[in-house]
Amino acid sequence: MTTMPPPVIKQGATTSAPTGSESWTETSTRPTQSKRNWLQWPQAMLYLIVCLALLEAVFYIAQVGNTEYIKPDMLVGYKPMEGKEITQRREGFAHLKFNSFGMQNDEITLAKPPGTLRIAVLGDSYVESIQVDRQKNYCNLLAADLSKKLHRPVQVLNFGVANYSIAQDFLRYQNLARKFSPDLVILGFRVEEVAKLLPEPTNKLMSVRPVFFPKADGSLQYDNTCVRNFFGCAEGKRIVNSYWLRRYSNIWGVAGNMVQTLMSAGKAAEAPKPGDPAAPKAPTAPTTAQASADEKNVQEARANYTKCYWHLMDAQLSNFKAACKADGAELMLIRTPSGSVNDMETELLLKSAAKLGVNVLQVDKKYKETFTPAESKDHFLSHGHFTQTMHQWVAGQLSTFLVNDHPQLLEGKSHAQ
Amino acid sequence: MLFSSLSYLLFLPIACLAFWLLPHRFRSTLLLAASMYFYMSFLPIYGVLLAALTVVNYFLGRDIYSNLVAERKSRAKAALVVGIIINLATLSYFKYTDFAISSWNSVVAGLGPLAPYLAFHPGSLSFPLQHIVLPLGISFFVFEFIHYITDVYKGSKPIGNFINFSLFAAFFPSQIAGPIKRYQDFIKQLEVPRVFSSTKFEQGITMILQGLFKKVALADNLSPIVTQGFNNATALGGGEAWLAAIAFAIQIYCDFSGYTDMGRGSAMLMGFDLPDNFNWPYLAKSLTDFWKRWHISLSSWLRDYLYIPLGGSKCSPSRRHFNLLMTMLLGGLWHGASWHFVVWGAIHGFGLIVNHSYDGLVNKGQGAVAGALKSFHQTQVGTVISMLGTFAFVLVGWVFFRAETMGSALAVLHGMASPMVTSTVLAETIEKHPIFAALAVYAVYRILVHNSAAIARAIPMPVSKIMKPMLPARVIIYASLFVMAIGLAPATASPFIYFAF
Repeated sequence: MTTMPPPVIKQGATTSAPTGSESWTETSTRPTQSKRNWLQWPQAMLYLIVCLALLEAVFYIAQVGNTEYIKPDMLVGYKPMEGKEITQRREGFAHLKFNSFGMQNDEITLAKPPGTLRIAVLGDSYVESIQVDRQKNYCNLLAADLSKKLHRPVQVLNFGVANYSIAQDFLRYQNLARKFSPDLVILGFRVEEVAKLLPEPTNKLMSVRPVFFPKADGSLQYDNTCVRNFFGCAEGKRIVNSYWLRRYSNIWGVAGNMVQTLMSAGKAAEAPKPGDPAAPKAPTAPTTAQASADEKNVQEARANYTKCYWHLMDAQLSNFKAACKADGAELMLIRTPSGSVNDMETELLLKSAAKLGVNVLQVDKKYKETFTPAESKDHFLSHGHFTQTMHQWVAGQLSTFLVNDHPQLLEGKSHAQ
Repeated sequence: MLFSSLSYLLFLPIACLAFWLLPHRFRSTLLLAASMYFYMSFLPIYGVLLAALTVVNYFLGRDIYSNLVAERKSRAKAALVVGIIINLATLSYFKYTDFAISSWNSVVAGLGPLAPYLAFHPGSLSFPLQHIVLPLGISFFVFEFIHYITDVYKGSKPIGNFINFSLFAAFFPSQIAGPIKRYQDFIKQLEVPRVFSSTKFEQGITMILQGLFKKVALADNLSPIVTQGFNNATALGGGEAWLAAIAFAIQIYCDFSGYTDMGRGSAMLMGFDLPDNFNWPYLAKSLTDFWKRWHISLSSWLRDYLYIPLGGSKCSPSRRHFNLLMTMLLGGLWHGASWHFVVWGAIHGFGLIVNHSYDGLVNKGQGAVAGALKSFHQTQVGTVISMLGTFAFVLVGWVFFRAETMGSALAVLHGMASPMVTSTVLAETIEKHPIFAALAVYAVYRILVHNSAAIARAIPMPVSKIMKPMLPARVIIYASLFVMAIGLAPATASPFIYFAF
């Protein structure tokens, strides 16, 4: 240890390579302190504007931060922004633009070209398919396949919106899809649709949804209490007020992702770790009998819930069918595979469909019969959505179902013309 | 706690603030505690290993020095040898045990066809793998300890203060992946009270941001492209094979130099200077030049503690070639316990032998050919050709470095040698990652930084005075750089490549 008085290190002395910041802090040509104080805030404002413009330009060119495409809507809860261009990298990859009707579809005219068969597909993110290139989702693959097989133009219009319930699909049909005069309406019905039937107070935009309650005469009572509540809450107001930024600013998108990362990191840090006194006691490994009993209880609870609220679903399907019929369109259901199983829901759905005379394509069942669980990695992305291979397979199933098994569904209004 | 992680973003300001608030006499203790916390955040048990090696090397250093002072050179030498053995044995156990076992098992398996003629079954000679988890940074701090006891043996004064000695190896900005420090430089800085310099502090912030950009916006975006390419090596066409190899060359540079920048920047925030590790390595005009520019702290360590003790260049040509080859082979093995690293080392070893021989021919040779070659290398065309040739050689080396198997490396090289074959293995991955935008941003940034003086001169005086950013404007610029780096980063971060070494 030295006993010499320590030499003072010269301000700014460094042996490092130039980094670009040195010239900013040299003192020789500095204006007087008072002049600098006067200048610093307007200068900061100027730099802020320049930096924001540069960041926007870089993010725009790099196509980052343009992931937000949902806007709040008092009628349906939320819907895609019309004409919004997005780049989705979270699961799979796609760069696409919602059309001027807010559909995950190429631009299309309301009027149906003569001789064209139009199919409208409604449903949630599995229909919306923003995880793959638009031309490779099952709607577009089906259109190409049917055009080839039927020797006539076929348009398959994608009305899917992530996390939509049957009630929202019905509203989207009534307010948008029917304007396109579809000959056939395909309704995506994923496992656990029954979970979206009841009103759910939330401050998450993509869970805000109105509900329908059946009246005594079988018609539906629309209730958007949850939507109105969302519009009134702080988060709802923030989302409504920041619409312009959410739509046009890529920096806003990047900042949103950063905040989300920070919040999820905070939540992860708050969560008690194994070994903490606050941590819940780690359960001892359940015996096979215990696990089987637990699973049985869960299944039973889900089955009871499904049975209890199915009348809401039944009424909505019935009204959906009636609306399609009134428009001269056929309705069919496609049950797509997902991670969970709800046998009671399947059973009740098939009963309701039979009662209404609606055809159901059980892709989930066919999938289980065709593929082994080991093959699922080629068919599902990290969050469970379809890969291109799976889209191709689903399109093939739909095409076979329509052309070979149920050709009457394709004998729409335009065919009669 | 990665430098590019959120937790480090919280840890670093707290450590810095505490450092500057405390009086000088407590700062080393604080830094040691912070460094141990940082190290143990990866795996607490390995803190014990680091502490044990620190204690052993501290007392060995003192023992060597006291023996030298008492003129008991043989005892000092014995202590040095013991120290080197302990350090290398620790490194070997954690890093090379499974490599040795699997190599032995492969040899034994090769005896299979001879089984009927042997008195024993070859399989009975194989050993199960131990699956030892490699403590982070062990290759770096073990080299620092070896440097320390060797330099003490050579006559340098040992470190008296145990806390300072512990901090020498544990200092968190350089703990996990270097730069490999020299204790004489570092301890001097610890002993002299750091005085806060806003200039240095801002340089540190700039360094950290630059490193963050290199890591998350460049290296992490290149990582999936490289992985996709090397995992599908046999399907790569000519263009894509070149692309995968060049992508890895840029990835490993940005990953490692990004880490170094963040480490050096973190140290600067507390007033410390760490040695630089890179000096535009891909602009090297020869392989010898490359090794003066790439991972400088390792190459100088290998030169001082391996190449020179082996005899260096002051011996016969054949012995010098052997020394070069041995140094590079061991340097390759240092990077990882796998044969492809050895092959990479061997390629560079042979390359250096050729390079030295060529230099000898050109610089010391007589006659028209030597003169013409010397003049050619001094021309601009000659310089560019030298740079491209060196880069191409380094690129071939990187293919062996990155490929997990020899088959994969040869497949990529085969692709590179078939320029007319087309493929679309990488197309989607490239489209998915904003790598070209990130590269363009970084290129513009470097051009601006390197020409900042000329740009400043080109702007008329009153305007340049007004435009020179004051503190609020500089804060905005730093925040913008941070947002840009994070914005261009992919959703999933990759660990630093050199953490595995």
